[in-house]
Amino acid sequence: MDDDTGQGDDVGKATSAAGSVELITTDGPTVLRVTGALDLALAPKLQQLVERAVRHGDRVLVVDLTEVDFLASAGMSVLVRTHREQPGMRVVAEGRVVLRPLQITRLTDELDIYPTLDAAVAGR
Amino acid sequence: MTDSDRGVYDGGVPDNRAATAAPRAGFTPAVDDRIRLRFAADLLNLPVVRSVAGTVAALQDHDIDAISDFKLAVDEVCSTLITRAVPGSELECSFVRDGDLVCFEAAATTAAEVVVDTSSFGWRVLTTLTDRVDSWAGPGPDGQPTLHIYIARGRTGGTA
Repeated sequence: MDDDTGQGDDVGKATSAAGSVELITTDGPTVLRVTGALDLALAPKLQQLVERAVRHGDRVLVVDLTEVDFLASAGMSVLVRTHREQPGMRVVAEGRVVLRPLQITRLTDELDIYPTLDAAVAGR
Repeated sequence: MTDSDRGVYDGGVPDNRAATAAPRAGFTPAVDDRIRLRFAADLLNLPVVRSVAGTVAALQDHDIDAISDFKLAVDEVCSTLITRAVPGSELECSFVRDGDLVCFEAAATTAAEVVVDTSSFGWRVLTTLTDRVDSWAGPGPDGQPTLHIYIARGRTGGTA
């Protein structure tokens, strides 16, 4: 089932009024693709999908923020928490709208950030 | 309405903080340059207030980074208030210009008198994004506990 309840093993999806998160299992890292606004409405849903991926045993997680058009502190908190629990987490962030909040909070120094999904999946 | 009518209007207190520190039931007449918003204290409404924040800052000639910071700060203020608001209550917000600053103030009715957690990550982000932040709690006009947050942000992006 690929509906919003996300019961399938391979694809999980959660949405809010202004954004969505999709969990994509690949042969390589598990990708969490975030779209739209990663605000307090969406952040708990990202957290749930992160936990699900971790329970699933996925060691390398890629959080893809390429399609994010707003990043709030609630979203950054999930990234920080996940990074501390899963140091293998990689973040795809490109463009001012996402990089500026990460720079202001100095998370660009802490997180493992890549400019593209391909680079993040390859880990270089 | 003539200029003299406006001159004697006693609701338009020049001290903007004082004007909304005691919100009235219903809208006061929009005789000043404030932009006022009232909406249900629900996270669903965050995109609306972010959008208005971006437009207000852009109209005041803020640069692109300052606009982005102000949107983020307004979102943080409203998120903080919404999560503390009594279910089914509303947020009362206003935007106003103060020289080179764009200011935002919002208030929510809370179940008990609460203060913001100034040690939280969100609050640290808020103080980094803005030039001034203030928060206070007290009884609203109906006697209900009310939490207020005020922020002001300058025109350029030299925060980081």
